[in-house]
Amino acid sequence: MWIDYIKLKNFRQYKDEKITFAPPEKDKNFTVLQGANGSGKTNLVNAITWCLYGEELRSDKKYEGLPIYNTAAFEELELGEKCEVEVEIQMIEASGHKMLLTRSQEFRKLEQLSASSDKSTFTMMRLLGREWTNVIDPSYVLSRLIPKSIERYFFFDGERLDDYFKKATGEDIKEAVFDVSQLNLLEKMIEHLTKMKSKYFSECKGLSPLAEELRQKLQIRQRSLKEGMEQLGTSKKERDEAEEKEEEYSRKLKAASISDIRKLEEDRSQLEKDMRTLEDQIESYESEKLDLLVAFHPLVVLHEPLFSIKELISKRTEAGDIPPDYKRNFLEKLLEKRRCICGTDLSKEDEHRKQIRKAMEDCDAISDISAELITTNAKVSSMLDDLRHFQPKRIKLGKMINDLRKRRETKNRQMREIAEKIGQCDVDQIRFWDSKRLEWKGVRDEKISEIARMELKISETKNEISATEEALKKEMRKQKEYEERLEKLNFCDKSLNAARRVKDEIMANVREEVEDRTRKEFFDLIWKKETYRDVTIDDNYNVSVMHQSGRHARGTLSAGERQVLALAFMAALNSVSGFDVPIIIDTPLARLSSEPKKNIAMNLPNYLKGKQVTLLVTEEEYTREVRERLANRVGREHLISFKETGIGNLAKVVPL
Amino acid sequence: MSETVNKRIIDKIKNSDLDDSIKEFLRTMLLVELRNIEIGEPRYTDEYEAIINKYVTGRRGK
Repeated sequence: MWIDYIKLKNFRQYKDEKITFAPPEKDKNFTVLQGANGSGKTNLVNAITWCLYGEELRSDKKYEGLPIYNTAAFEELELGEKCEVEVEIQMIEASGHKMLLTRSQEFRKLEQLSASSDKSTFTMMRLLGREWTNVIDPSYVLSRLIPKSIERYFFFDGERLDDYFKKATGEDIKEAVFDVSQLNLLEKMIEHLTKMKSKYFSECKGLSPLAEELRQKLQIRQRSLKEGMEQLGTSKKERDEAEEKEEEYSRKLKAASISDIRKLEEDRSQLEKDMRTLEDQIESYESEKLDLLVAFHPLVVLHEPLFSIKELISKRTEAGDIPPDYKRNFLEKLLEKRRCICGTDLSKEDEHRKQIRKAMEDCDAISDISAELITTNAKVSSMLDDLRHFQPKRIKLGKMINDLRKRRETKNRQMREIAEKIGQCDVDQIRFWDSKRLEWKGVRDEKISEIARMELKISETKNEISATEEALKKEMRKQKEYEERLEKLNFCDKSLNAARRVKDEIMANVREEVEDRTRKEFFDLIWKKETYRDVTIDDNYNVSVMHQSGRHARGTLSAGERQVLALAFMAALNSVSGFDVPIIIDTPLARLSSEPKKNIAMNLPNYLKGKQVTLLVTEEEYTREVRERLANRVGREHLISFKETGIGNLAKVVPL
Repeated sequence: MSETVNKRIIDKIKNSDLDDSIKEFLRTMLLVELRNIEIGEPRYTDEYEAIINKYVTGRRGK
């Protein structure tokens, strides 16, 4: 890709200029723009970077802080009028397609030195056939053609070139090589793929599939269910068989009236039970009767004397002897108190006291006994009352015992009758059948229990299978994700290894190529060909210039020699570059004395053949000798004339 | 339009003995990185994820 022309309108000192450039395909691939210091050479590079990236990337102290519009043109405006700044670059791609890049910005005049502006607009048009077509996203397309990050390796300031090898470290040089060769893209891709791989690895770890384990569990449970179902089937068959057998023996027993026999047996068994109950009851009642007799025996024996005592006391009571008129202790208290309850004074030994003493003597004889008799009478009466209950109780118990004995006798008789009836049957055969029936009944009952247990177990197993299937489904989903992640992880890994391999191989090639090309360009440009033996770039991109004596000479290179080394390195960068971009060197020979300048110029025609090269030079640089040396390679030659006016500077570009 | 990624890299990938899908993937990712570097796009994960998905699915389909 090369620059066909640049049109500048109201940009800095360029009011309305068009500069055409030599195409690279012919031998005359050099364009020289000669101008004095301050004439606008650096601002021409700035015009290019402003057009491409919207900013000036080269500092020009003379114009620092000043607006980009042409002050002379701005001065001519009336207040409120607009001044349009526009830089248009026509480039031609290697394929021959034309491309027009235009950036413009309007400034409205507010006051003498004040302006307002909108943001600049950038357009890109491509000539397809005879039609100019607008590129939809010009900044994006430009970023793929001439990324801003690499422009400094194509549009560079020659005056600062020798500084480059004064300051540049191996890291700086490596960065430059990586930038222009786009190894940085591979580096970034490797960095991102490594992160993606790490991400997938973490995700895989997080998913950690249990599906296989669950699948095995499910298989075990399904096998267990199958076996359980088979066992259940067997048990059901066995149960049915047992039922059939039971039924068979039952039928035999029925045919042999076994039901009656069993009834008799059952009756006998019941009778035996009843007999045991009756015996217990009889024993209990007899014991109760004995207790009753023991308890009432003394009363029964003493019945007659007790009755007599009762009668005697009754007679004495009827005679009025019992109870006595006074109690002796009552009369004694009256005497002690010396006053009767009627109020009579008894303090004197008079008739009243005498009468009381007499009464005391009368009651002495019987009074104590009669009091005892009253108590005794009550006790005797109670005993005789109790004795009245004895007989009915005894009779009742006797009756109950008799009844029970009769019932026992009846049961005994019934048992004898049953034994007689059973004795008339073929008991052994029936017993055998019955035992077989019972045996099969036992088997059937056992099988029924077994089936119930099995059905419970089967139900549990089915639930477990259902839960395991659900868990497996979930796990399968996770496993699917896991497998997808694993696939991505493997893909990342393969891509990463491939990218590393490509990068390592290219890195080795690029370093070697940069080294070879720098060496070649250095020895093509340098005039002291016998002084230096070699130029090398090691694996860490440290550049060394080897003196014939074998010492490292980079630190002792003169400014001109450093300039040559830098030019050689820039050419080498260009050769490994992935970008097809023209080269513009601002003041390449400015710092050189006449001899090295002449020497460089002598070899410069061999520099960057096939590439469009533009040199922005001062008259001092572009001496007659230099011009003569370059003459065969220069396709275009312009002079930037410069005029200072009271209202701003103006540059004019004319053929030299 | 001009080559957008260094031909040297593209050729190296093209002439390697890698799977075609890996070659294509690397070329695609180089263009993604080229765009990301130039327009300062720091969020690469979603784009990588989408492209890796596309390639992995594509490989699965073969």
